[in-house]
Order: sequence, then structure tokens, then C-alpha cells
Amino acid sequence: MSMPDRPVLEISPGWMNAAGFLGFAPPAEASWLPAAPVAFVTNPISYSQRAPATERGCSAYPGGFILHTGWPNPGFSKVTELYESRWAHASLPVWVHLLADRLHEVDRMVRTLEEIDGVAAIEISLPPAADSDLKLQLVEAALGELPLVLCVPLDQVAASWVGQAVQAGISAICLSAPRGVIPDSGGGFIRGRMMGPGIFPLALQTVSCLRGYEIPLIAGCGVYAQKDLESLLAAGAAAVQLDAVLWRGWESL
Amino acid sequence: MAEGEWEILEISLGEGGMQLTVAASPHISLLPGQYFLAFAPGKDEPAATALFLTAGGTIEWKLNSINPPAWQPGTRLRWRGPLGRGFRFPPSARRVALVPWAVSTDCLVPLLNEALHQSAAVVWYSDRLPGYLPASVEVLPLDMLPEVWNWADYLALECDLRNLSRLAEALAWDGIRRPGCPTEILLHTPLTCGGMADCGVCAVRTKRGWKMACKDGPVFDLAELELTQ
Repeated sequence: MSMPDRPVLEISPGWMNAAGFLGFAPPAEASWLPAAPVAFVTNPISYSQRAPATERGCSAYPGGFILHTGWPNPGFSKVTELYESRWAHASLPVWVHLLADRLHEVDRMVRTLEEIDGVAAIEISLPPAADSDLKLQLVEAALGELPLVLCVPLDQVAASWVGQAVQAGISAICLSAPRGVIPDSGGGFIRGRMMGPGIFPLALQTVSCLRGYEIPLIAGCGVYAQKDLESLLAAGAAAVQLDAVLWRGWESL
Repeated sequence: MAEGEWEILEISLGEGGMQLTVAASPHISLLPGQYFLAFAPGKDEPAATALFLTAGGTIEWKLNSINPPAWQPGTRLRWRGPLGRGFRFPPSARRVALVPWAVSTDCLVPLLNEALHQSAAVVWYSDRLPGYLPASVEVLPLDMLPEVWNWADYLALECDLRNLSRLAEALAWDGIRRPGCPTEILLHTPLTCGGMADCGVCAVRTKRGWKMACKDGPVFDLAELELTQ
């Protein structure tokens, strides 16, 4: 099968933030962040305003923590109104992360972003509960003039719909935090995204074993040390996304 | 915001939870209720820990945390701060009530010291006493809380965000600002990103929309809060 024409994603080996970890516009340099990021990824943006999750929280377990926020944001129009000037003047390529829920919303957001200066790529994440058909339709709705980076949870990267998305024309795959669940003290469960160094071995295993997509793979999940970042690059990642370590503080070598 | 390193000189466990003693950083100006984020390099800690100053001095500081990691005396911490909004203690306050409600921290102790310093009368409402409480402070049980409105001209509260509605009920709080008694509350909720991300994990519902405790708080005007979170 021939590969489709796709916008080329300009990317240098190095680090960038994962969506949701540094806000909506590039921050000022700070000593607790690693030096020289290669791109900036915005917080996830939905078409309409999104409130914090009712069960939001951060719950520790050995090796990491479960984070549940609901991806609150003021909605696409408000975000672009507030931040498009900063994106245009950013010294880094800005990747705008979209929460893809409905086809017509994705289409409108993507076409708007194509007209905004400073947006170097679009990164999308898909509804966890969507079936494969809907996921693929959402990806197709997001294809356009800008390179499209598809966020795929670490535990789903071998799913058939990911291969179909590559065939459809995405420009890169980005590994994102898998979802997990731990019991709470009241007999219930705490659900959310898994953070922390405990998931790094799974990330490295995934990058090491993943073959055949022939587009850049941006790795991430549980990277807390320079040697981990370098291991992912050596294993074939085009770049690495850092997540909760950016909040905690980076340890320079 | 500043940043630096502390070495833990001493760790004590008391009624107010775990207290860390570190060398003072007297060049840093902070308000009670503001916090630091700290982690121990080389320990694979997934997240930074929020630390509140409970006793400041020119030589040593004591810091308090809700969920401290397994740190030891001698552990070196990297920190940044102070972060967030703290208590705005009115210089004119003369009848001060402090209410640590269902929490095991000493975050209100610095306010107590400020109040005594300006010769205010202080009432400490709690079923638990902090390690240090001067004899001039009157201690009252929590079931006498509704009477606080008849006496105090400044009220400082502290509770977990999930317990806000229960605290309001215990206070007989009707959600309406008391002009003669500014009332502030320190809300405990995960302060994971330190204001870097607008991630929403610490989101607090207010009458003017959602606010983030990590940067808009963790101290809020009680009258601004929606009691159902």
C-alpha cells in the first residue's frame, strides 16, 4: 500500500512538554526546567469550555501517581483569543493540542488553526471511550495543511486503528500516559492518567519494539532523568515529551 | 519567586503532623498560607511536596506538610517558592479566631504569632492543640464555632477542600460576607503543578468561576467560595 502525502513535521531530537503540563503558552525559562526545549505543546483544548472533573485529584501509589483533572480549559475560541499572539511570537514551534470529541468541532478548530501564525503542528487526543471507527473519523477530520500528531496512550499503540491513522496521513505518533485505576480508602476506585518514573520501563519497551509505522515517534511517559530521555532517543524516538517531572523539577546531570 | 536548597536538620512528629526543621532563608518574604514545592534529588520522587512555614525565625524554619515523603534528617531538598496567595492578616484585628478544621497541620500557627505580636486576643477553635500554644490563647471546642461571629473581627480557617461544606455547616455560615469580620480560609488540595500548568487538579469553585488553588489560593476569601465543590 502506498503511503499518503502528509505534511512534514519539523522536529529535532530533544525534549518538549507533554500537553497539560506547562499551560497554554510557552513559559519563561526557569532553572527547574531542562534547557533548550525543541517545541512547546499547549494544554489540551476542547471546542467548548470544559470544567474540572468532579472527581479531580492526585493520588500517589508506589512509583507514581494517578492524575485526574478533566482537562479543564476555557474553550477553543477563548484560548485562541487569549494566546494566539503569544504563539505567533514564541521562540519555539508551538503545537496546539486539541481534544477531539465531535467531527464538525475538530474540523472547525483545525481550519482556524491553519490561519494562525506560529502554530507549527496540531496534536490531538481522542476520547478514550470512542470505538475504532469514530477514532479514525476524528483523525481524518483533523487532517489538513498542518502536520498532525496523534496522541496514543502507551497501552494502545499496537491497536489496529493506530495503523489505519498512519495510513490516513498523520505526521507523527506521540505516546501519552496510559490510564490506570487504584483502590481508594473507601472501597471505591480512583481513575486517571498514570504519572511517575514507575511507567518508564513500559515506555522504553514500547519504543524499542515499535516498528513499521515509518513516521516519527515522539516518546514520553515517566521520564524523570536525562539518561532516560537519552535512552528513548537512542531507541528510535524522534523526540521526548516530559510530563510531571516538569512540575516536580528536573535534575540536571 | 525564589529557589534553592535546604538540608533537613531535624524531623519531628507531633500533633501537627510532620515538621521539618531547615536553616532559615530570611531573605525570603512570605505570607502565612503561601507554600513551597520541594523534592529530594536522586530519590525518584514522582511529585514535589507542598511545604508550609509554621514557625519562622532568623536561624531555623519549621515546615509542615500534609503528605510528606520518606525524608530523613540530612536529606537535601530542592525547593521553589513562595507560591500562591497567603493570608492577608489585617493590622487592625484585635479579636482573632483561628480554626484548623479536621486537619493535622499547624499552618495557622504563624497567624497566631502575628496576632499576639499586635496585641490581639486570640481564640483557637480545635479539638486538637498544636505543639506550641501560648498561655494567653483561649482554646475553645469546635462545637462552639457558631459563636465566633459574635466576637471575632478576623477569622482564619483551614480545611480540606472536600470538607468545605461540612465546615460551613459547623460555622453556621450562610455564604454572606460579614463586614466586621474578614474571613479567610486555607484550602488543602493537591498543589501539584505550583501554578505552572492550569491543570485543574486543584480547581476550586468560586462565585466568580473556577480558580486554581495553586496560584489563586490556597488561601481564599470564604465569601468568594461556592460551598459545594
